[in-house]
Amino acid sequence: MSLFLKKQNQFNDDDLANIVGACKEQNPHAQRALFKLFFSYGKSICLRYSGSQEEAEEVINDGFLKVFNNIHKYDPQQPFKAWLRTILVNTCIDYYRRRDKYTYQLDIERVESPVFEENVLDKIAADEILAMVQKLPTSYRTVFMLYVVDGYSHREIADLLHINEGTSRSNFLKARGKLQEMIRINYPHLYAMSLTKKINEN
Amino acid sequence: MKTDPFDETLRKKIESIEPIFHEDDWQRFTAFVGTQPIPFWKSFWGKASMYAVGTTAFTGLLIYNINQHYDQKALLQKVQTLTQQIDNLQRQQPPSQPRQAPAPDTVYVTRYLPTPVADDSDASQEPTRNNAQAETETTQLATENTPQKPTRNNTQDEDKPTQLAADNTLPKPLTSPQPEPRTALGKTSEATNADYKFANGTATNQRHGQPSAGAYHKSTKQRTSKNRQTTNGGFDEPVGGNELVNNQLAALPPVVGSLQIEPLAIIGLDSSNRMKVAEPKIFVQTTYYEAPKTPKLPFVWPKFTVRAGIGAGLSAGYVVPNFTAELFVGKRISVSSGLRISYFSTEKYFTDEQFFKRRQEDFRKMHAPKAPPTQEILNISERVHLVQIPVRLNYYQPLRSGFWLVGAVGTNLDIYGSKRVKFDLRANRSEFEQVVNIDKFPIVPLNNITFSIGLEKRFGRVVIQASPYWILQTQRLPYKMKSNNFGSDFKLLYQF
Repeated sequence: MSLFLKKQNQFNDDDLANIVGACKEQNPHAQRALFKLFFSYGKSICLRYSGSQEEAEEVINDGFLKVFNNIHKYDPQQPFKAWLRTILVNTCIDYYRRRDKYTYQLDIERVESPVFEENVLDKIAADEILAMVQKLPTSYRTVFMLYVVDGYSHREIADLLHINEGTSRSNFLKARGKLQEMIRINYPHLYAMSLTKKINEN
Repeated sequence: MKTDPFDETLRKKIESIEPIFHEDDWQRFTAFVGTQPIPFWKSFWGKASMYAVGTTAFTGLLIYNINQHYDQKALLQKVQTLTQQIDNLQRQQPPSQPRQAPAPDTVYVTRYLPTPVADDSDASQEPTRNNAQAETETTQLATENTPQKPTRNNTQDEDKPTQLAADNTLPKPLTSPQPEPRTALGKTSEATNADYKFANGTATNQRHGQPSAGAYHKSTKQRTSKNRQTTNGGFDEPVGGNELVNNQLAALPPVVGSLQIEPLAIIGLDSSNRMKVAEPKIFVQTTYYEAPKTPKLPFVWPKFTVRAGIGAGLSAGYVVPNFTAELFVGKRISVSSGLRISYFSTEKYFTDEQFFKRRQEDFRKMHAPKAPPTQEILNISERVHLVQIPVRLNYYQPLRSGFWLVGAVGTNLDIYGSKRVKFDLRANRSEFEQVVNIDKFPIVPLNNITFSIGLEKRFGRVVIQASPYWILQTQRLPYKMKSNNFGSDFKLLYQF
């Protein structure tokens, strides 16, 4: 018993292997330590795939529950963050698959590629950008985030979401167009500033 | 692939978002986990039930297996004994014993060969005296009495009485009652052999030296020619020969089998110019007794006596509820298992310093944060709840008035333990109680031996047991500080 009781106070944030090892033994203190250690990272993943803060919390809880239930499958030779990210992304996809279908499709030829000033985004806060991303339809948002942030190819996205590759491309372009449209609507003054700057340069 | 500047900027912005962890997040997570339905087999009672059922089933199967093994051994031994008995019986009773095949000299006389009339009949008298001396003597006497009365087939004689009378050989129908087959056959042969030479040579007791021989031969020839017309093989049948043989064969039981008699073959002449006949081949098909095959024994479920019931134990002032299942593996021996919840209260400590001195453990560290380092800790007490699987081997000895003496030995396997720690905190001259519940702590399943002896009273299928027990601790554990434990179990069982 003394061994068990000593363990609960031994967890150090830097000692990930020890925490994971204790989590495999279903040690609640280790689980808490792991949750605390990766909450920020996990929450940021869930936020960008979710439509709201509440949904993100639900998804992160579900994701961490999966992590604790399947931690015995984790290979310590691999980076834990990558394993966690895979689980959380899959949880997000499953969560929205249960609710929505990724069937939004747009003909690629008809997608307009708007001219957008790249420096405009720098002037917008990250939270505000996230809020705009969360307003996107689920199918667009998921494809956009998988492609832009998590670095999946359209083929991988198509396999992951069980959609066509063309659908993935079109959803991505549509998502980007919608985001730029939202920025134009929400931040018109930034465009005005950008236009003035261009005129001055010319 | 060229990265789009808009995408790149957006990625950086989004990745820069890092929510901060709050204690509420963990509380929400634990609440979320609590709302998840736990399957029954993962719950505490599910696990405990599974362990109990598993242990009972395992023990039962083990004992059943051992029982079956010994039963099979006994059966094999019995089969071996029976086989030996059958073999002995077979040896004592040879296969031909039930009904012996008739002696060859009387059975295979089914054909006869007409011989040319010769006057050297006297010389033939000598060789006719063969091994069957007694029979021959008898038949000789019979023949001498009726030298001129050759016995003929009844059917043939009836229509020729006058002719025979002219030959001075009065036909005499075979009217004598049919004696024992062998003798009858011999007699018949002798009676007809006045001028017929029998193929076997043993019954050719011809009396050619008789004064009326010539006349007799005459009539014989006539008869022979007639017989040749009536018989298929051109040979005359002896009087009643076939019938007797057929009757005799028919009388044989099927166990002995059937006789196959082949026609006799002439192989030459002997020194006295008599025909030599090959030894007859008689095939007696005998059927030996065969032991019946042991039929396959159908699988019969063993009738085990099973008991189940509830009970309660009294130990150190605590009531220990339990339920028990018992399987009788013999008339007086049984194996029981079940589930019981035991309570143990460990020693009490007045202060955390005393706790440290006795247990060498820091109480504040063990129970942080409920045991803060700044406040004084008093009156520490622990109560341990243990879920156990009792496994017992019981022996029953009958006593008077329907009472039975029950002796048992076994162990209580610890499968789960929880702990409740109580202590008082003193702060600003006021004390308040603090309780720490530890849901699960490491346990050692096998750590004790239990002995018990008690009484049982049977009321039909209902059984009441009372048995004091002594638990000897084989391993000293933090949650079981005492090396000995005494108590008593009371059980109410139902016998199925």
